Amino acid sequence: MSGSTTTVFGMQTWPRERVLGLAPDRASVVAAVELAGTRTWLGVGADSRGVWGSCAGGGRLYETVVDLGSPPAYTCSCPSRKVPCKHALALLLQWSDGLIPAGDPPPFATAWLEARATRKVADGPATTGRQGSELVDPAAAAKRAAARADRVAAGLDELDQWLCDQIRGGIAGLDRAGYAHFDTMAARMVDAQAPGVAGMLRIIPAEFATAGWPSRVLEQLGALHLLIQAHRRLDQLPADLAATVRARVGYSVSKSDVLALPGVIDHWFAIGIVDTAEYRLDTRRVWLYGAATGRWAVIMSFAPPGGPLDDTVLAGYLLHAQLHFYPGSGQFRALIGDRTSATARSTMPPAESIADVRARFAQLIAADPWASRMPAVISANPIPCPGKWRMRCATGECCDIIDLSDEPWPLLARSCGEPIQAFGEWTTRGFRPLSVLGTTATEPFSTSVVTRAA
Amino acid sequence: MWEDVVATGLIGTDRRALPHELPQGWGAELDQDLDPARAVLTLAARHRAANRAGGRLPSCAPGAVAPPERQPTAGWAAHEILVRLLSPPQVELLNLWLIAAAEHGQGVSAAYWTPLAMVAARTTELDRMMLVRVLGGRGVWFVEQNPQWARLAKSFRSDAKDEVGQQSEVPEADASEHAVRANPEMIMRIPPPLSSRLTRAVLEIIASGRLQQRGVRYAAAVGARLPLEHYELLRSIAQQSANGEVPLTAAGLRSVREALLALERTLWLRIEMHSAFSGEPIKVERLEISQW
Repeated sequence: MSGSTTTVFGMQTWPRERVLGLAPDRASVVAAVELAGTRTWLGVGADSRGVWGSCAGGGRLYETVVDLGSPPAYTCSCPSRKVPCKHALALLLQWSDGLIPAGDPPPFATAWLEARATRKVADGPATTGRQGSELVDPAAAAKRAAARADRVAAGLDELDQWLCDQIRGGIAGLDRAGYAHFDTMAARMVDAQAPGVAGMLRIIPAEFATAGWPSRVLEQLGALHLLIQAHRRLDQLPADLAATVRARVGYSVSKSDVLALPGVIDHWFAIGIVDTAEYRLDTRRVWLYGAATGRWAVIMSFAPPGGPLDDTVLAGYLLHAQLHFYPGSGQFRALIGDRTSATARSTMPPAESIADVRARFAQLIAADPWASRMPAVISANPIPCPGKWRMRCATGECCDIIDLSDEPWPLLARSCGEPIQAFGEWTTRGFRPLSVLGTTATEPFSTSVVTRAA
Repeated sequence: MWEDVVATGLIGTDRRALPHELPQGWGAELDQDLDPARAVLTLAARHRAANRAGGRLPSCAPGAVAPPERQPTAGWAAHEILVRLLSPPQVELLNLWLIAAAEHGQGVSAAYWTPLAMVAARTTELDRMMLVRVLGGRGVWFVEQNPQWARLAKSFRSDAKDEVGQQSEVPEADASEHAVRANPEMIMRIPPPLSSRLTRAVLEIIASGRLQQRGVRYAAAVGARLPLEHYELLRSIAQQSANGEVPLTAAGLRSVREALLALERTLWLRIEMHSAFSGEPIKVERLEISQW
């Protein structure tokens, strides 16, 4: 319920949890919730651009306006230095609860919203547009691409030699060498403009923490070896696989090039979201499922640590849009192109058994041998086991539940020992649940899968 | 076989050779002249793919199953209110929600068992008797599964025994208007439903400003007890205060206004909850207390 979008007076509002997520601290949450429940608001209203209202407090009337753009912006005549202040949050909470009627903005809101709109126009569209790349000299671009390819090839040759040296000398002491040993080589790969390879190197030392690491580390080194071999034969590979290899190595593809590819129009339901911190970068993955095409997609956004991640599409949203997929076999990553209002109800993907999911993962590995995760809805029940949790199918097959910040008690609440339909990321280590599909009006779609302090 | 490859990788190809005989399929297309280190890496890549795509899935015994649920689950509107009360938790108001759900014989959706159990585990202020009724058999089973909630689950059983006679009630017949005016707290011990005579008395006590700092808390507690149909009585009292019929200082006026707001907020929430649980429309218009 809390993750879905609601329509109020013909406007789509944000879920309450999204509003509370904007609060700068917990004190602001408490103050805003209290303020939202009072009758101290006057002249509240909203349109497609913003929400506004005046709040009586301390003998004064504070004028508050929220720009609902992405990212949202706030203004308030109160003396608070917090952004957003409790008034802006309280206003958004009321809007989220459907308590703000549609209307025309008063002069103070009109002035501020129009000033922001003017600035946006002056700043121009995001610099990822097609026009920018069209201005580039094609000959110079080709020359730069060739130079980069040479640089990557030279870097991968160096890595190949390094890998062979590890195997010749034996990997027995690598756990003692720790992160620094791999970070040094990863830095060389960054210099060689192969950031994808650098990322594969950096995650290897994490394996040393648990028993059986020699087998897993050897597999990871083997995956790097395979990538080097594939890169050397790029010209001989099918176009899709070549694109996958280039993506895994870390060749960048401009957004404008992706948006220029044919799009897939569908009603896309945002079925799960996961935020991770990966080596100096916060990453958000929003998984989408297409109702008509049955196709999966993932929208990724990145930010420096602590920076705001894109929140224009969150779990529970339904959007009618054209998605443009990045090139490559087994590719889920896409960009959102043209959007229109959603007109259909969300369609949930069919649930699979764990064995079926694994079979589908095998197909993905065949298309992209370096793939590490895949979206899946499994029909299984969560079982607390000593030291871990597992998902168990009716047939008895099970998999570990992984990468949760806390214990998945909400999953057990939904299950009560019977199978539920859980969406998540299937990985080589297990299943990372991200949401539970709805069954009835009172047991709706939910992204609450772990115990969180209220 | 794979163990042999790992052993070679661990020790190093300079000191340990790969096995000569590779199982069928494993060594396919491996160039005999290939550098042994590259051969190990190639086999590792193949094993990785095979391991990820195939391999044996583990199996485990089925877990415990909850008993069937008998009571119906409250509807969407009631849960919308619950979401508001849980984010962040407002224990006194949550108690009102639990009471309303129990009175209507409706249970809480499993989606909210975890946050409710967390609140209950943290504070004894949440009415555990009502929580048990609203959780139902399945919800109680769920709480019992979590070792961290063992004390809470235990209290579910013991609270049932201790429920009777915690505080002596005062029959309304014995609680005269005069007695309530002398001791405003007495209203909390009078069993519902309160008469309009007593409701008017407590509203006048609040509007008089005599409770000072205690006013807001008292008013909120009164709001949890007044019959819903007495909401209209609040309108006339609020109007009297707005007209300055009760002489008060600025500070006194402010505390009275805050108390009346707290009472109105609590009573209105109960009206909303009654509508949400029963499906009946709200028939009264909400007061605009802030406009005096």
